[in-house]
Amino acid sequence: MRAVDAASLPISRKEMLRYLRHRGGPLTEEMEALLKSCEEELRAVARPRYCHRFFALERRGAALALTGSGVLLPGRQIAALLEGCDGCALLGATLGGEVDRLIRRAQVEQMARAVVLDALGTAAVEALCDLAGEEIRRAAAAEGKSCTWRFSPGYGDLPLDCQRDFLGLLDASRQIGLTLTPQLMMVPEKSVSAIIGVGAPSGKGPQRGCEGCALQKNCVYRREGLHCAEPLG
Amino acid sequence: MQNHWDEKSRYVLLDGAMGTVLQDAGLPLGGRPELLNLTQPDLIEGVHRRYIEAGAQVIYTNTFGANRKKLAGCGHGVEEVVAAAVGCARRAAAGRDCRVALDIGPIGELLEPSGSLPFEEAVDLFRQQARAGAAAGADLVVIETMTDLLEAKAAVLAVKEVCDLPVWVSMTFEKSGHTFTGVSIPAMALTLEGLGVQALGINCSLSPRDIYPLAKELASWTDLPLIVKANAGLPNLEEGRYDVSPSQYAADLAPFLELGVTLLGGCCGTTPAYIRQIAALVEGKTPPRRAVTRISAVCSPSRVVAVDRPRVIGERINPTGKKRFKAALAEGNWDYILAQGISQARAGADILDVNVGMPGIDEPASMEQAVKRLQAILDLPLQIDTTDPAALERGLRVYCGKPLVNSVNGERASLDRVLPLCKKYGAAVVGLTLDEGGIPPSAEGRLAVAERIVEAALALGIPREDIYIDCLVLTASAQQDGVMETLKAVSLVKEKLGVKTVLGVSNISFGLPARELVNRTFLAMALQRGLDLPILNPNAAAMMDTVRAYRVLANLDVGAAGFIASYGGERETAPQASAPAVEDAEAAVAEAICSGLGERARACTLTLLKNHPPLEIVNRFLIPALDRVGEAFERGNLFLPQLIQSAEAAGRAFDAVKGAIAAAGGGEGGGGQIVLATVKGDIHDIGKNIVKVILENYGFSVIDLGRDVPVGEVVRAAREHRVRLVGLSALMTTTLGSMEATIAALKAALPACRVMVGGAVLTPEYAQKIGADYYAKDAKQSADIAKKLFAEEERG
Repeated sequence: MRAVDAASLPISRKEMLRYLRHRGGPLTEEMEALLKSCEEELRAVARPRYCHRFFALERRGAALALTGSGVLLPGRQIAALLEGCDGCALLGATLGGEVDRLIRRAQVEQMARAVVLDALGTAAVEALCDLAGEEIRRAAAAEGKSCTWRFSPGYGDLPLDCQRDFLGLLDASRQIGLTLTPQLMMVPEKSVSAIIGVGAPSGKGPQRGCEGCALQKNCVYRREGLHCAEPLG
Repeated sequence: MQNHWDEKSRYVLLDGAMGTVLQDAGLPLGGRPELLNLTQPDLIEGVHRRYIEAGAQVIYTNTFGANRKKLAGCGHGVEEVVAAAVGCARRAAAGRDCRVALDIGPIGELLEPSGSLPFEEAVDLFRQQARAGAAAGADLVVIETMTDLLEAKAAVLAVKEVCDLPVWVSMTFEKSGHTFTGVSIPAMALTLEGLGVQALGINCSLSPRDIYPLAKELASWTDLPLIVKANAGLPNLEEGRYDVSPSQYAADLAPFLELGVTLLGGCCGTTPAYIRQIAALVEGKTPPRRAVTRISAVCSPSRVVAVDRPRVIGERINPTGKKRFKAALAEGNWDYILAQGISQARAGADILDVNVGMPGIDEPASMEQAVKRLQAILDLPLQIDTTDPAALERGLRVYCGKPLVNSVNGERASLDRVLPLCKKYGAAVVGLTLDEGGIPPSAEGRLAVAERIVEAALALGIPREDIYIDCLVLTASAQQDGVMETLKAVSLVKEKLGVKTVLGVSNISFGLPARELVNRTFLAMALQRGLDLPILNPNAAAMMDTVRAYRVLANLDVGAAGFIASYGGERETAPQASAPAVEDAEAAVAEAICSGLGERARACTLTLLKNHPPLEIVNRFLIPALDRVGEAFERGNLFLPQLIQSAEAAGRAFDAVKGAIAAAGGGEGGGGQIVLATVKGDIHDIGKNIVKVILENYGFSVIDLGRDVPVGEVVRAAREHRVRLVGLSALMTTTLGSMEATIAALKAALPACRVMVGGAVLTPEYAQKIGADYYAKDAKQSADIAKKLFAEEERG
């Protein structure tokens, strides 16, 4: 389990603005002030934490499985991602429950703030996952291995159910206070669970992009012929 | 019947980890260790035996995750697993000086309001475990590794409701001294002590050294026996061992003995070897006596308010005499009520009074809602204010922390009904000095009633520091000679009974002009006489000023640090919005909306109302301005926060218009009603809330049912309000089924009602498939749909 200092978490402004449907161009002074004060507020209450665990991979029948556990990884896309990998890392990350409260409170007081805080929170937890990914990558490199990008339950055809398995193996509720509702929603809300392949990945798997994404049919960016990896407009 | 073992005057050894020992024996990861009680009882019994041989005098059963949720799908029920587990432990403990503790761990899901597990369901899950454990012969129940204080409360209540066994609770903290959900050490101590646990403490996550400062703090807040079960440091992934050795662990526990911690064991990473070392550590030693200064305090899970100086109770959450509040309560418009809470918190209130008593509503249900919702966003402790015992119990049950109860009085019926509830739920209580004879006119008379209340409370086991007396403020205009009697009573009560005092200050000036002047003067007089908890309006600056100044003058705010922090810098005055000239107002209001300037939009509207009819303002100026903003958003010239600020600015303008219509005697009229809900199973609601803001600020009246809304409730609300349009939101693929079911039910019950749907995973195709009439890709489109629909209805 790692606790990360919220003050130093590198939150991508670009990401955050994208979530807010900003299409580039300058921000008004007022908006700058709003973004700045929301960021201060969020950093003051966030308690970013992550936990991770390495597993060897093995085949069990048609599916991939995590060695030493009963957990299977069904679906074509995870199999493609993990091609060439002999192992993987499971990752759980969260900003903590105070961030949820902050956003809830803001929804009552001033919805514009709530929306900014929400976007900040999403960008922040992604930044946290990037940090965790770096640690995982370093550990893999120490053994001469490389890593895939991170893939989460619910992406492509990896069932959302896997979330329960991942968090269970990570003992996430005890390690970082991350739990699931019966409908598989994470609590605290600004949290991520993911799997990263470790080994000698072939790179033939789903590219970071639309094919792996559950939102591809409904994506605001795709509608305009763009990708979320690029700024709009 | 409870047995009383003495855990204060001798050391008692607990056991160490079960999981660590089992893993060492080769148990695979991710399985359910509790099932081993059934499949390999000898193995489990063997582990217990080894701990007993090492010196353990209390062993925890292998039932950490033995609740209905965690055991689901494994083919065995709670009763079966628990009985087997207790059996293993009992056999191991047979003939030995060793007690068997039923181990109850967290459910694994977060309770409402953070998560989705209802409080009563949690209680029920715990009750099942406790009942099974008691039936199987456990000697006590230990609730451990808790990080959520509300969940711990649910467990304690559950155990006490089904058996008489002693209850111990230990919680898991981070190095910072808070749990994952933000619970502080003093909040834990105050709350659990109030609930009547026999021992409490800290387990898991941290090494003994890291727990030490936390245990030290805990020891200063309670004199209950203290439990410490630390981890053996951190797991060293390479070696598969933990990095604190048995001898080091015991050495690190030595300082705890001086703190008076008597219940010692180990958590993750520990084995019988650790327990042997602890046994050697405490051999021949006697624990020091502990004495703790009792203090008056109330708390939420993360904030403790010690009544060691005057603290302000904010009075604004109360429907009495407040038309808008009453309307909000009747409509279930919780945002309005929550906003009152937030503004009082910002103004410096220490505690919030919560009163939702009004005819025509379900007060018990409303009180429960009010407490839950306020605690979801604010960390101020609450004062549960009601005369309805059912409402009191509902509020007390779901309150997380230690609340104040307002009130009990000297009437026999009140004492009999209210005090036991306060005792059961560990609440502090305010006693009003009135009884069957009314309010005694003299100070001595009030003292006498206070005395009886205090005695009755003490007799039930409510400690003196949790009893607050309200000597009752009558109005100066009607009973001028009563003012000094009240103040005299306050002094007498403090002096003779040694309890803290409360007064509802605002009553004093009822019927007089310059009310604030009278209020603040009376407040100063009362503070000087010993008032601890004034109930007042914290948004009245003069009142807060008086409290802060008093704290300095009475040498409570040492060095005037608090005072200078509040007043030292320049007071920011909110810029006054100037009302523009009539000719400019038309352009100005549009500009204000575009720029998201609410005050200015409102001022412009007031100007326009001078020579335009209200609806014309709406249709000619406000809606077109909003439409332009919406288009700019679509084009990408504005982004989301600006859209919302504009919508909220338009909302201020609409409020002014509605005010004018109401003043002219017109009906509510306007844009039509829409029911909004996030469907059952889904707890994301920010998207739905954005839609609400946009729709309201286009003049529609929104009935917001909230999140995780059952199908039946959506239908009921749509029927009751006879709406034409329902908006449903869902974020997850797992909750689309709920959405489909909700639409089907609506169509069956109300064929004329249209449904629009939105949410990240929806597509136009899917929306059509599940029977929706419209698909809204964003908030702006939902407003377009609503406008079109209601315009059609008007024409049609």
